[in-house]
Amino acid sequence: MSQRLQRLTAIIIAAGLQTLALGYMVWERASLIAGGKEVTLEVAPVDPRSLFRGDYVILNYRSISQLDATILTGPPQKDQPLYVTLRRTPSGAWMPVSAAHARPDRFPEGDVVIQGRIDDIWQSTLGQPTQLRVRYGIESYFVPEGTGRDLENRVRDGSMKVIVAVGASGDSAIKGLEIEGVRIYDEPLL
Amino acid sequence: MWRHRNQLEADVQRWREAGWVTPEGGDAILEELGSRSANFRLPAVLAMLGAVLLGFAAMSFVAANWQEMSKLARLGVLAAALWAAYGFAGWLFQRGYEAFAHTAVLAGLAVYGAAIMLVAQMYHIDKHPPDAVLMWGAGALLAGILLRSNPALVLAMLLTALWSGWETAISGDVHWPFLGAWCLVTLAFIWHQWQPGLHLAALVLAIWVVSLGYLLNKGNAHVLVFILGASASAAAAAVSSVPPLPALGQTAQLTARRSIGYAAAVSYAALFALQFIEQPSTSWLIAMAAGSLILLLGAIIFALRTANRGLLWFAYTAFSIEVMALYFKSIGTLLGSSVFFFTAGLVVIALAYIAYRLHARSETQRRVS
Repeated sequence: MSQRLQRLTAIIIAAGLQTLALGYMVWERASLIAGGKEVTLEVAPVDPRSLFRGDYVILNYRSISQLDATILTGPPQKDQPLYVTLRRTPSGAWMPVSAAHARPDRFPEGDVVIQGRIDDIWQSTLGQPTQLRVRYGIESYFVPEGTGRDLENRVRDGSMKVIVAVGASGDSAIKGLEIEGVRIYDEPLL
Repeated sequence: MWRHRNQLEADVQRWREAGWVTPEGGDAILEELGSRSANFRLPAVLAMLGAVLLGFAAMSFVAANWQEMSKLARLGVLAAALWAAYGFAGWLFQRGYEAFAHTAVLAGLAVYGAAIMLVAQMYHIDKHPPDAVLMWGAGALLAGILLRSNPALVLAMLLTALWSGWETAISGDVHWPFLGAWCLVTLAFIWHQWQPGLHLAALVLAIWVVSLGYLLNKGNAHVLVFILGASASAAAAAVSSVPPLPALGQTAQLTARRSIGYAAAVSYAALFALQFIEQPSTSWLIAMAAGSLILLLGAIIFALRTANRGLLWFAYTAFSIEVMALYFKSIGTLLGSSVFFFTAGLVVIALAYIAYRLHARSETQRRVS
């Protein structure tokens, strides 16, 4: 009997811990989307692809996916975290104003600091500033089977923007979509 | 396994005719053999394959990104499937259907992996995919240890390899945390005293060590890998050859004996890279090719004398690979290759003759005494 009980406890612990791990993943994302500051970013087209998690659209952010190294204080380091400070222009677009490998201690009220990682560093032509390719972990938008092409066209004609929630630590999550200035879709938290 | 069985049947027949085994004894042996036949394993194997298919069903369900159901409902379906699989496993364990219970555990782990992918999809997480594999592997290790499930540990080891391979592909660097994860899963195999798991662990570690040759020192660390593999082979051969020592223990000697093949494979993989992937000068190539063939012949002789099937299997394979690779690479010119093979062939045949003489002499001595 005690061995049966032991086995039962083991099963409850195994399944319970796995459920908790999944629950933590969900809670972490949901709280970020609910509580993070919102920034709206323009996206440029990249072809949609299909993978294990289904169809998705690759998002390339016009203002922040590729940065001039001149924006960075100090030399850029590949595969290192990068904190990019975004400021809202009068036209409503969010543009990068500075970037650093360490998280800035203080920044003007209203600015948002988003954390990314330098994926690649290159210089296209001599004399031009060094370019940085930065990934933020919000470059994939998973869509229902067969609908990737439609969204892709929206991205291509430039009418779509992505609403991103940014948490206090600089962590980011896709919160919704905006087409021609109208917020058309909000990701449900659950 | 089937070969082994046919062989044993033939042997029993022979022993019976020779009068070494009584007819009843022979029948009993064959009956015992029959009860352990392949048919007995069939249900377990089929159930295992069924669990794999269910796992793919769960992953396709996720990939379809079905919008008719809310996020919460989709999560609920997978959470329910997870608990159902583990609950079913518990029920099967209680009924004593161990093999089926392990299948249910594996199904539960497949659902757990699919659920991780679902959450990543729902929240468009595109951070660092190997982290998801690590999270999945940790769940498999947990289930493997808590439920003493070897199939779950196999999944944990495979996910460790996938995680590490993915990290290496992204960074292009050696992935040292692999060693920690590998140790944990291997300790679990040791704790379960499960031989096939230890073989898997040895294979995964061997591949990782070979990869060091391509990653360290700007991809030119094959000499280091060779030294590692060769010293491990020599140490394992020494430990397994000494007469049983109480301090050493039988398990250590058995482990050493079974590791020789893997360690030898590591050293040969490094030699292969040095000969055929790097670009050595012709004289170096000849020296290394001769060295490789001598080492492989040594391995074959050692394997035959100690009846080490794993090592023998590796050495024959490596010998064929070496000869084929040399033939395609050609030593300087085709004529040069011809001279090389001719010399090597004569030396090996001379060895065969010497071995035969030695064997015949010892046989005569045995008869005289």
